Amino acid sequence: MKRRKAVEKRQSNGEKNGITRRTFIKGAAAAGGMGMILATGIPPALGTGKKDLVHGIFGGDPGNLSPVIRHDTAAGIIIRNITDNLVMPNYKTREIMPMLAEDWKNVDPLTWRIKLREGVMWHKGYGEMTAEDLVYTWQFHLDSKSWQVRTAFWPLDSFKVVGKYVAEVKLKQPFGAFPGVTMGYGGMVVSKNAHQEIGNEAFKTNPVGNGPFEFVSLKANEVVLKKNKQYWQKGLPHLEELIFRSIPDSHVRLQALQKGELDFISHPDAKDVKKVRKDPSLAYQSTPGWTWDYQLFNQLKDFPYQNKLVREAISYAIDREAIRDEIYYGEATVTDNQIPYGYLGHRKNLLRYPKNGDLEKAKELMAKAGCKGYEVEVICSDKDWLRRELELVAAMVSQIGIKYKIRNMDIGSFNNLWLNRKFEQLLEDITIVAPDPDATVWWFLHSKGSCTAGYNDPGMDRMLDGARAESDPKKREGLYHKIVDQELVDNPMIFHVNANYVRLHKKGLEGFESAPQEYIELFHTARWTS
Amino acid sequence: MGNRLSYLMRRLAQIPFVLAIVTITIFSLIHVTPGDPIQIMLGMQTSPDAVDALRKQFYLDRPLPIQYFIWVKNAVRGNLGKSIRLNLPVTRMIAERLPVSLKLAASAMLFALLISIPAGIVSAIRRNTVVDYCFTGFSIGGLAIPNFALALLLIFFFSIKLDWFPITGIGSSAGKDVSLWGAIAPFILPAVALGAQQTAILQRLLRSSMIDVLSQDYIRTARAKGVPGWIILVIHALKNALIPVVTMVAIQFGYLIGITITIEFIFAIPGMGFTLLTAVVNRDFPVIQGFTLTIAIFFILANIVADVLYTLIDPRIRY
Repeated sequence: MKRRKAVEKRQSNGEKNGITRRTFIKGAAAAGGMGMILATGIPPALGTGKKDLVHGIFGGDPGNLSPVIRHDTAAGIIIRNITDNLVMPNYKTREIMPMLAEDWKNVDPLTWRIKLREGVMWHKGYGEMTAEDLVYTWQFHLDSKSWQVRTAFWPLDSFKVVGKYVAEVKLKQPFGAFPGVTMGYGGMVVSKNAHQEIGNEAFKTNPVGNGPFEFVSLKANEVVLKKNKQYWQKGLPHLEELIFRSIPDSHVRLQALQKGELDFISHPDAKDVKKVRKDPSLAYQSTPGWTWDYQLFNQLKDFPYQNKLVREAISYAIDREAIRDEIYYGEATVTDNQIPYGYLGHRKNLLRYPKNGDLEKAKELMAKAGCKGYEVEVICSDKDWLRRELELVAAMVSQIGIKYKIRNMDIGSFNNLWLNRKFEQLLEDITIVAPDPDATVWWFLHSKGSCTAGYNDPGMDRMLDGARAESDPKKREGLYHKIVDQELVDNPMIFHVNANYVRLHKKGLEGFESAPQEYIELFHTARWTS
Repeated sequence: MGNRLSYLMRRLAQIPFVLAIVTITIFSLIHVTPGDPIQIMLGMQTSPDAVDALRKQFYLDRPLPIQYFIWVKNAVRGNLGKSIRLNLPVTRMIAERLPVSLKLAASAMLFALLISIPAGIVSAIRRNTVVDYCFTGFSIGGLAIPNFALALLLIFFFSIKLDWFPITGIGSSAGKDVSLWGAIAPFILPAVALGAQQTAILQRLLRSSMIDVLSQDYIRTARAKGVPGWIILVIHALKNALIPVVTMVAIQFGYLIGITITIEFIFAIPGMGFTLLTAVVNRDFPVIQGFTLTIAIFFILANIVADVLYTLIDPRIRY
């Protein structure tokens, strides 16, 4: 009996026959540690010191890193650091500048001659880049019916090598946007030898480029690149190693940056940016993006918005500054201009509609159109900011008697309705990729464009085709001004803002230039100064 | 032994039927859901030729039953197709990502066991005391808090405020810290966030099981005979009380593989869930099918293991 009491006393003291609470915790911790070791393994050692940069990139697994197979934007950012492009836009002067293509000429309206830069070496010993590589790449796109056939290569008729570094391209019709669209959007060349030797499939996870960084490894959500010591821009890049780690959640990306696990991130949540800008350890860059938030009216449907006065009234009812401040917390640029900053043809962001709207004018236009209001279903994908933006816009247009019935859905379902024109009206954001105004207007305004929804104006078609055929940049600029002015009257789409691309990085990183293109984050000039 | 073996054979023989039901269900659901993976992948400006070529490549131009049979025919040969979005073989993606998810699930289960077993024992022997109420409160909290919310809270307190653990780093070859701690640290917060619910479930299960066993006659007899308390607790009570817990652990481990999605997403862990979520958003059918099949296999195997363990631990149980 005494013994039982003693045992009970020890139990009540947390002892279990010689096993004290402390011993138990120690044992558990040891077992836990051993278990963790068995479960996790130990990561291999890698470089130390500030000659590297870890970029927390948005999106999921990068997966495919081949420039000639469709890749997503996040993978595009990585690919652009492995493979240089033929040309690059100068966003300030809005000119297309030489890169791997040293020069290009419109020999006659249907012929372009491209002179490649000499001495550009492929990674991993695949020799020098020549015109044969360019011709091989573009022919591969056509033969494989790649995603770029309709966007960048549709005007191509034939192309041939006319010198070691010179290729000649024959077009089916004059195409003034050739430098921006074909050479710009379709301007990543692959090494013929490397691509054939490695194989198209294997090339996706073992790319060979000619850019500032050479591919080292792709492991699930992490891509490691190293400095290309033979890079054609002498003295560059400064970084020895560039690591991209996919982190889909924007808050986690930001927290990992603040904690020092990352050196650089893009696409932070806009509402966090204001607070983060006060963080003395971080630097901030914000650029108006080549992206729109816009409303699209399906003019194949019978709604009062068939009357362009109603659409104009809607545009006047929109307080774009409120969208910028309430939805984007200031990290956006108000616009009604279909051609964003940095493009040929861009004048200013607001061309016709006041930044805070004009409700009286909107009501006046509704009266003039004989419209007392109506109800319409407006679809929107499940992006949080778009859902909130649509609610705000619905409140704005309700003041002129229009009731938006909001329907949010996941992006797959949204695309299904959008691409098949099974909607009445929509709000969406879109990223424009090719650095030429043709890409920002033709597909959206031409009656044969794939992104229209019933808008069909022969006069607009003529202007779009005319601007597309013109190769003189100055003349093209004037033509695009007219196109945009017409769009602002007809309003087949109503533009709200260009969301800014915000990039955050640790202080001490210099030489990185923020671009308005989402997939352009080039690190060849970046260096750590502290 | 003979009975056990024949039971095991019967259970294994059921696997193809269960997998057929699972794959048909998943296949039907993902194809009924609106959204065309080719359109999502290629966008609006792609030529119809390119769309048709890709459709043909992934057999999406065939009727649904034919698509299913093609997929099954290839799957039984070990070919789960290629990701539409990433253009990579699904088997390769599984081979890369499954070990990561298994490590995460193992870490979470380890955490759950380390906490739940002592907590369950203490709760049982201190039944209806403050200690028991505290453990019960924590258990209910563990069950009530969604794992993604817990993950964010853990990040905020233990990573941001206290700077004890890293947020990311699992699956990264670019880690700077090569020490033992550097290897373990990235797993701790995800393991806690993922294992919290399991901890609560196992703690509650062990508590009730222990209470039940401790009230049995043979325990009273052992006490009357003066058997030391720790022997009664560990040898007589815990061993029997663990029977339902062991079964539950096996089942929950299979379940953990399937629910890592949010945790992998938040902590950027390149496992099955991380990839599956991206695949669902992009309607990447082959990846969804292949990954779901793998998760289903794990779940079924976990259940079989649980049943077999049951008979091993308690010889009285016969099938």
